[in-house]
Amino acid sequence: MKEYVLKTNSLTKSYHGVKVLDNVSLAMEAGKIYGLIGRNGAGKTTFMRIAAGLAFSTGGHVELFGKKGDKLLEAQRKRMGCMIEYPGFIPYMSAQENLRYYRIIKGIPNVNVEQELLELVGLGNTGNKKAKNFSLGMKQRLGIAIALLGEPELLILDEPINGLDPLGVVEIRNLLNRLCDERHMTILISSHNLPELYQVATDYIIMHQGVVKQAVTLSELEEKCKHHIFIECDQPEKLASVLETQLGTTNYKVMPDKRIKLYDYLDNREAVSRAIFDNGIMITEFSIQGDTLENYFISVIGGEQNG
Amino acid sequence: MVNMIRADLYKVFKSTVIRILFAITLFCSLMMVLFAYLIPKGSLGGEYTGLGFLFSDMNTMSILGAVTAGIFICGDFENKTIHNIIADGGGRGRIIVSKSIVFFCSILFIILPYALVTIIAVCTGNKFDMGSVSIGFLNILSKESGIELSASVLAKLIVVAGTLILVHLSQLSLCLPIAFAVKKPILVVAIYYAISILSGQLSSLASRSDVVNNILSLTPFGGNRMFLTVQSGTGELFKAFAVSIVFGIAVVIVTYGIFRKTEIK
Repeated sequence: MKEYVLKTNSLTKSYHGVKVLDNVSLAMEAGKIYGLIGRNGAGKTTFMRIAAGLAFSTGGHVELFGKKGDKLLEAQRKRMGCMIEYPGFIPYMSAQENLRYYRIIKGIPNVNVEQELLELVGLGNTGNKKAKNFSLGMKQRLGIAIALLGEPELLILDEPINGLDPLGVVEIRNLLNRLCDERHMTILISSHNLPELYQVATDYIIMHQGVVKQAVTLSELEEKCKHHIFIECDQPEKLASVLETQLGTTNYKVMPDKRIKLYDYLDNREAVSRAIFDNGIMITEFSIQGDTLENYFISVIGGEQNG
Repeated sequence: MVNMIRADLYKVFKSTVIRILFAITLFCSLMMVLFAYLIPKGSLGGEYTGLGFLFSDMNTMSILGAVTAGIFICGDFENKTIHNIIADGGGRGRIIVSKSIVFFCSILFIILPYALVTIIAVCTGNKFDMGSVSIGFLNILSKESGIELSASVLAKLIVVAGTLILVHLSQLSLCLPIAFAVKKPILVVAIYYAISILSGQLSSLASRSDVVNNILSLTPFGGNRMFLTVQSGTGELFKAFAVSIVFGIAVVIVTYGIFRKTEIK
């Protein structure tokens, strides 16, 4: 039987009778980067907090590395590293002193790991500067370094690129990819920056109002977000007929607003435009488009009104 | 758990706050001795006893002990270090025990000036007295100063001082459940100070009510716990010791009960 790093079964959480997680069942495999997507209040952080032991579910259960039950989960959490909501650090200590504090707690004897981690997250030259004087991006990096102490097998990061400058975003992205590839680390990452998430995650979990709307792999998502010719015209019904009879394709979709997405002829757009012109159809838009993760996310959670 | 204690001690003694608190108690203990010296000499009028009491251990520790809990326990919630410890598999029971031990170590550190200054002052052979407001170390200073000092008296003085520290620790242990429950330093200080004032009122009520007296005597706030001197009997000292230990442990267990299923925001 396959052992999952993190598995939840009908996980439910209510606050004052309001369900913030509703029967969430997920299974995460080792060595993958899971992107957790959802609007504010979708239940992403609550899910992470329950996995980390900071909150308790009102129904269902969590399994970590195949183990469940409070005591066993507690022991398995030693294999985890977390940064949920805000990085946790002692403000009057330097970055290295903060890492030392956590290193002592985790019982890691190797002192060198402090500097190695600081170098890894780009805080190698912060010296005695106190963490309270760090920029938001530096605090995020420190939070990631703390989460990486002890080489966790599961890394949970809630909005880790908040406050990072563009270069920092790239560095953290590369770091996460490297950790996944080289150390076979499983990473659960939530972010509002969907294009950024698109460049990191290998799997996506879309949550909305406490429910997992969809869990897809990157290849499935790419298939769903595939590129198309986007056509807006005065006679969409006639255009549909032309596509089928003259261009011989049914690989198109008429949107509710009557605009058409054509998934064929991407390399031969001239044939399409000629057919449209020959049939006297007036086009107002003709462009190559592909669903972005954002658009796809919006469509999954229920359209523009929810986006 | 040993790792947690080591790490928290590292954290506490890296903080300038603990050094400031130590400096305050050192200053206050010296001021307490100065007032207790000048008042019986007549250099200061009797009306200054109230001001002198403000520097006493009973008064300062009620505030500074709660400040310590507020900063080092509530602070862990505010800067989210406690979140990381739980997420890293640190059991809540171990967290409570280690934080309690480190809290008691911190209190021990900041109360030490009172014990040392009092013992040294008694050893000088001078007369110190602060009258009716004398309580805690100020009471030892008032009652024991001027006595003939022998090795056995000095040894008992140290034992009494040690027991009094334990009574202080036991009283201040109430800051633990408050800190874990309210998680706001200012509230911990306010609530604990209110409790210490209330305990004073209950003590006077205990002299008129056997029921209140019996209940209070099971706590470090009751009996003559804060009025221990070299004249106190071994039984009285042992009772103060035992009650303080049992009460402290009970409070730690209550704290665990509060924190065991608390959601960490």
